Amino acid sequence: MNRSIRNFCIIAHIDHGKSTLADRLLQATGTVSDREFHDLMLDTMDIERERGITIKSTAVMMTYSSEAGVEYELNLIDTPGHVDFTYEVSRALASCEGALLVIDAAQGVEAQTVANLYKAMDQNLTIIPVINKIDLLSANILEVMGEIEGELGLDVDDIICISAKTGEGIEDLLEAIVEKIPEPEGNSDTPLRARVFDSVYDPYRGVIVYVRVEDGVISKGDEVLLMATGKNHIVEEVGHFGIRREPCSSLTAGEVGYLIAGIKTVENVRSGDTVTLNQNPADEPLHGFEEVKPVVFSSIFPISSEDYEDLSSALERLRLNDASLIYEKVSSPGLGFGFRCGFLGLLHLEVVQERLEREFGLSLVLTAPTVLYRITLSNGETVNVDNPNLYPDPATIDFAEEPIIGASIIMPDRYIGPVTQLILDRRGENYSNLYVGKNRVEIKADLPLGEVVYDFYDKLKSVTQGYGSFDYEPHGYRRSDLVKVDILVNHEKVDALSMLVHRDRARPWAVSACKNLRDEIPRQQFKIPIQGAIGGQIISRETITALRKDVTAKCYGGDITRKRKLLEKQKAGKKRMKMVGSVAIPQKAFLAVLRRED
Amino acid sequence: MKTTGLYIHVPFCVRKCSYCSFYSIERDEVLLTRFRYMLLAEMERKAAGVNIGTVYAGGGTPTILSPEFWSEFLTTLDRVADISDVLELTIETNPGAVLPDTLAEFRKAGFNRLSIGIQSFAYSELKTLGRIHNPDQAILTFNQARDTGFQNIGIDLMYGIPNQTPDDWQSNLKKAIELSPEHISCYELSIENGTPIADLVDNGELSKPPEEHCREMYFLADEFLKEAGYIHYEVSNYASGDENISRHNSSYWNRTPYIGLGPSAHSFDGKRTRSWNVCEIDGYLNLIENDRSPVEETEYLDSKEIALEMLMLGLRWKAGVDIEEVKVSTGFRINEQYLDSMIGSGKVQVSGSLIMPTTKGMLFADGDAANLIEDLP
Ligand SMILES: Nc1nc2c(ncn2[C@@H]2O[C@H](COP(=O)(O)OP(=O)(O)OP(=O)(O)O)[C@@H](O)[C@H]2O)c(=O)[nH]1
Ligand code: SF4
Ligand SMILES: [Mg+2]
Repeated sequence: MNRSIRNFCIIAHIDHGKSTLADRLLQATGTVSDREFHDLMLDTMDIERERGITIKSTAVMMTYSSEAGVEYELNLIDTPGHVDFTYEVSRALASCEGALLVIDAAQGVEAQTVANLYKAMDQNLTIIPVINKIDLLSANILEVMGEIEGELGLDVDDIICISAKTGEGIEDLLEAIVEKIPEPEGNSDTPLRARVFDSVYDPYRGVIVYVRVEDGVISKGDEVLLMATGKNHIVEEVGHFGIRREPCSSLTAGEVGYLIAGIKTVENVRSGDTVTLNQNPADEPLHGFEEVKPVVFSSIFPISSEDYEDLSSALERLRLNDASLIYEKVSSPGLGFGFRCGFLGLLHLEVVQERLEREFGLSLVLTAPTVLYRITLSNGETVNVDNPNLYPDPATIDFAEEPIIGASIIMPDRYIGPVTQLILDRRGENYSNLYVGKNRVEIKADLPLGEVVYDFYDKLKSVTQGYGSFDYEPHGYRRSDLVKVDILVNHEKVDALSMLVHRDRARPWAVSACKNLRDEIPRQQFKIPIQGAIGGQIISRETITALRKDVTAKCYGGDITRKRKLLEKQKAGKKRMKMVGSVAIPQKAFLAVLRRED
Repeated sequence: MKTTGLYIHVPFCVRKCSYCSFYSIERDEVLLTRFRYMLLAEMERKAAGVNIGTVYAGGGTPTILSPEFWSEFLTTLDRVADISDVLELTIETNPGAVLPDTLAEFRKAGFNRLSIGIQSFAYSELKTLGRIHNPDQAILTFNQARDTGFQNIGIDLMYGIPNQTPDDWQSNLKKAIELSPEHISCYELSIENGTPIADLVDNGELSKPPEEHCREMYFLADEFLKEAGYIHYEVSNYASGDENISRHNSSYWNRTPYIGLGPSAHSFDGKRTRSWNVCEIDGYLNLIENDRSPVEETEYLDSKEIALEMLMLGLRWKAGVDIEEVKVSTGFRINEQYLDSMIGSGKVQVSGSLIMPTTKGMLFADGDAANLIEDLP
């Protein structure tokens, strides 16, 4: 090895400036020329740029000559901050010896700061605390230093203060990286073991497998074995991540890079799997990753049934790069053929929906997101239900359980009141709170996941004026008084709108669903009743009155065109609606119902 | 032999009414002078050699242009076009926008039909509508028109005015028939975006009467005017006898040809070509002054559009629509099942292949036309 290697990732709470810091490091090390540079180089997806958030981790290699004149190979992994994508963080951590823990100088320590720090500590990584955004007028460096010491238990002397916006402090940070983060260990003479930490699909080359080599060497032409899947492949190319892929002859122990081996789909490459040589295999695989499990389920239907095939191939395409997206075919009496999908959270769901609509030009209807309920039947059998339409006959149910999460919420203590109220409203239990710094409190509570997936985070942000942050982890299941609420439009059940909810929540939900539908469904020449029901019992009701006329009074100066175009537009609009019986329901009516307000 | 209707749009008014979304501007002498010339120029170009059947000067307020101008206009028309078949020459006016002695001159200029925008006989309603006249002026204008020899007079009335009750509407109708006009149009007020009245409605200062009242007023007019001997021949129009049905407006429902002159005016060749002039007066004048066509857009209807028009127009008037004719001329058949439901709910009467809307049916002409050709290729 002629160069020293440093592998590190950037972790932080959402929006604390990870990707912006990555930009500065790329520039400071000359990895990207000024001509090539643009903001948020590593957020390459449209949706990442538009929403200003990172969704997928990105790895990149830089070379750096230290002040002492030593040349280093720095492998950086930028990670997402949003809680839906924490699994990306865990995977990145497994490939690194160090982590830059970025903390916004104006926001201080937040829930994912803590959560991600613990993850990094579990893997024995060297942590460099970085206070970012010191250029802001609202920056409160001293207080944040206090939090880093008190709340996180890190050494104040290790803190580097920077502004990823102006570039201040970046040189110091680079020096700290090469000084403090240890050189990767690992023996290039022992049999190859490389951990797969991600993979992406390239239409020309097939699957690009991201690996961290722990032991041995991997070279072009090697025949490799994926230990979990048991499949063999010939390595066509290995290389480092530059701004583009940079092929090289081999990757040695300690290095992060990619390999291409004619693999057709990402499903054949499991993250966490170990790559070894077929001729000289390792005895034991490296430890893998916990499997990511979807927590929110929803069915996706094309507005126009002709688009089913297009939806099917669009999902296939998305899945090539997003192994966490799972789906299977479903059919609904009202909505025709579609797919039942599992997501990591509501943001993940939104991202998938947006990409399907934007990148593939589809118009979709999504059913109310549901969590995975566990139903124990009177005969002792237990079934998992993620789809309200598969909810067993209540007469056959002994009891139902719902998934619970352990939530951690960090905020300034002046918001304790409203946040506690929010938790109680959302059926929280095992509530406790604890001061974690001067004027800063951490609340812990168990909450039903079903109460969280919708709009909990938005509500939290609004009651804490943006200062509250939230992290969670699964905490098993708890019994729940679950009911299924159906929505009937003109006496026909709209199965896409059926919803499993706690009994206390049923009526408010049904009332607002009916109201939203009343406001969004265009009037027809006949009266349309809209009802919410639990079984045969009606719990809410609205009526769309009949149109009393449907003609333009005046046909001004022979302008027939305007009148006709209006009609044609209405007819075209109808094509973008779902017919339920004789009633056309617009896409936005479905969305309005799912926009739960309470 | 099919004749062609001639429509002249005069986009000037004394003052803008609060509900008006038509293109019209307050009078302006300089523009008016230019407009007179350009109107003649456009007419000479478009009407040359055409066999004209009706003339309709609308607006706006066409009586803002002098009787002398109209006399010159009609004389020129006689020179360039064939007007031997013209039976009906209408000019619109508004109470307060025309002097009694000039009415006689309009008659002399050649108009034989007058359409007066009365809208209401109630002072408060006229005020809400932002009209320039009061009820007495309305009646006066009508009587003067009669006196100067107009034997065919139409009046426009409006219902669904904020605060108007069905009783208020009935007393308007009563006053209307006391004048014995040959023609009465009853339009429901529609609140159009961007008008002053829409602002008042938006901020809650005014609101239209409840829908069931508006519907009641529609049926009230139907009953009341029929009792007084009028024929309800189109969703918004009544005539005191078949001979007094507006011939010019009939060409719209009939899909016979018409030529529109003036800004935003529409033309139709009676087959599949519709076109319309640019909307604003400046653009209109500039184009014609530079010897260019004022037509903003021309559209060529496909068969499906023709079928939709035939149904939509036919279902809004008594004459109805011949579905056999729709089929033969466009190749589109109608949805029989939907037609049955219309018959069942009393919206149309059928005689052979002719379907004719009832009073109730006319109210749904647009929606039903669309439904009748729904799901067809
Ligand atoms: N003033 C100031 N703004 C900064 C600085 N660093 C980042 N920002 C801004 O903070 C916002 C978030 O920056 P990102 O780099 O996208 O944050 P991130 O941590 O990558 O966000 P996620 O990937 O979504 O978790 C952007 O508007 C940046 O312009 C800084 O040093 N100073
Ligand atoms: S008179 Fe007629 S055209 Fe003129 S402003 Fe009033 S409503 Fe509009
Ligand atoms: Mg980012």
